[in-house]
Amino acid sequence: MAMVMTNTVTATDSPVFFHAGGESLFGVITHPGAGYRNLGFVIANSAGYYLASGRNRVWQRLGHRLSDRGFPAIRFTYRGTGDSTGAVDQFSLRGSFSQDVAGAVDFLTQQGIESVAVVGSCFGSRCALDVAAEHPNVRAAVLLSPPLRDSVLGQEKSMRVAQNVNTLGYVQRGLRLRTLRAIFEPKRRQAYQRIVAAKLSMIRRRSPRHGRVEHPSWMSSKFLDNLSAAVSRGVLVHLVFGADESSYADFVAAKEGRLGKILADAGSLVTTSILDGPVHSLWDIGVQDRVVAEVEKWAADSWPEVRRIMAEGAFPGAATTGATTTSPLEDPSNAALSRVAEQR
Amino acid sequence: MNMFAGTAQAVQFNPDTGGTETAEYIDKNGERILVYSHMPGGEPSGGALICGSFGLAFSQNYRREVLLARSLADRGIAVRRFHYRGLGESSGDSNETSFESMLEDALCVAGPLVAELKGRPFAIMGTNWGAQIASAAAEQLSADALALWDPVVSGRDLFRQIFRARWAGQFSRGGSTPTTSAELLEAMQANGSVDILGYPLSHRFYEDALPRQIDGCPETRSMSVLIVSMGARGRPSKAHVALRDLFADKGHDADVVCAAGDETWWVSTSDGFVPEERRPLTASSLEATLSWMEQVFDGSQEG
Repeated sequence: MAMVMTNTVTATDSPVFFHAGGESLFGVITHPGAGYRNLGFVIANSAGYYLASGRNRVWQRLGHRLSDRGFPAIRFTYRGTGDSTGAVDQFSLRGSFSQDVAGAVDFLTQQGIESVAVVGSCFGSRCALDVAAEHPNVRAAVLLSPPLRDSVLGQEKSMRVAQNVNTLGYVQRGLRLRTLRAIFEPKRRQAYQRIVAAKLSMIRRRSPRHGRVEHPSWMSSKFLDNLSAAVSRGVLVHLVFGADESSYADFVAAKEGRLGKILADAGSLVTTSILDGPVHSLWDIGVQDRVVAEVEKWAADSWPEVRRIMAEGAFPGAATTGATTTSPLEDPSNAALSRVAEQR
Repeated sequence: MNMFAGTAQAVQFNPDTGGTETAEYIDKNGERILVYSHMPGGEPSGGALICGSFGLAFSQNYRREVLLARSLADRGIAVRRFHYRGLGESSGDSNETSFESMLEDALCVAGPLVAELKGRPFAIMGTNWGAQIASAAAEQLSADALALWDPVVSGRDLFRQIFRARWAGQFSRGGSTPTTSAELLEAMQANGSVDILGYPLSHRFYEDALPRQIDGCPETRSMSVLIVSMGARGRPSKAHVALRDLFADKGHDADVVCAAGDETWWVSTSDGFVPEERRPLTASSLEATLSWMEQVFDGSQEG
């Protein structure tokens, strides 16, 4: 079903519908109005969250803070969630919803914003990285608590069992009477099937036929490939972890392998911040405030560098015309925006 | 503070049904309420207002309410949904949100729809705490029908749910020693609000909501009432049966049904993600509400 859409974008918050991969996604764009900076932010939510504003309106707050600093920002809901159309079978990190993030980037581009930074939280950070690796208009990515393992929403526990228990321990567990009995329960059986599939996949990856791995067996190759691709395009990447979360422990461990080499080669293109507490899921208002402040500060600090790179046209394949642009507010055909500019 | 008093609007047109979905901001006392209008292709046979809950429950039930709105619009019923001031994408401070402000928002959003219907049947639907708002709005607007999804019958029940949710959240994340309800209340009084799973719960809201109770709408003409009791029990909860009896005692045509499903609103399912469209709880809630609403609207029009 192809929806026909019309959007009237004004300064401050405006609801919008935009196309992405055959679906109509709902979002809210916060536009600073006249004199805006030619770097827009796309905020990609965690998986399965039904409001574009995020938990306790954290993404609305971030959008407003970025807008106060002159950066337009859009937050949205993935297909099959919130007010977007479509249905979703599963939120898999392997087959991520990058089309939706790319759709939001394209929407900003259509608004005259040529350079985009993608900000993603958890699942959203992996979608953001997918897009940062390929989209010519993406100049920067802020990845909040990115999962370094490939899993599916709601199946993280099964994946961890497969990844953290060695093969002998795994066989011993499988032979326990309690485990064998549980095979007759459909839900437990499905969980076991997921663990077996994950374990077999890991064993295959370790076998000589597939060559020696240069990173922990649980480490997502897709994450590494995308990070490497983004960095080679000159995209600025900022990684944010909570000190008390498993993804940070994974990050520290993974730096021993291929990840460490990518980070070393990237130099100042990749930066890292460690915040207090677990960042994942933003379960705490204090953490939400720290995340908003972190992204806002990063945006302000990085803007000169992004502008310099844009001016030099250093992005291969990027359709850039530089850091300055005619504001849509100055375009007489955009009556709604012009009206707002007058009011401000 | 808002620099702009809104004409921002997004519209999507469905060529298959001829229906439209509009998202726009409307002004209310210097703040902006985000309102969604789901309009059928032709002249609507009736209208409905959907009142969501707040906090985590607002988000957890959100998609269900969107699906209900779209299904009703496909059946020729015009629907309005909204985000309360201080919540979701509306403006305002969540610490200022109260029962009264939520009711004001519901009445403000319903007003133009009721006027447009020109006497055609009008229903109000409320989820969780939104049932309190829906009941009060139904009384003030003399609605023809009222549907309540897993209503929280009293303020006391609401805070019992919320405090349990916080405890469950702390427990599931392996955090520090769970805080007792008494300690939470003390902290709320001292600090003005407490953090419930990443959402603020203000002392002002607590004081305001605690004595609230759905009263069975005694001051309005007889209306059809459907209570959808959600949970794994396989039968309606005692509180929901008692609520049905209360509405019946006040002269309303009240019914209670059970929508079965094994989820609770404060913790997400742990054994695999199931899309809202395929959750048995959602499917049975939608089915029960849609068939009830069709009957109510047909009956109203015949009458």
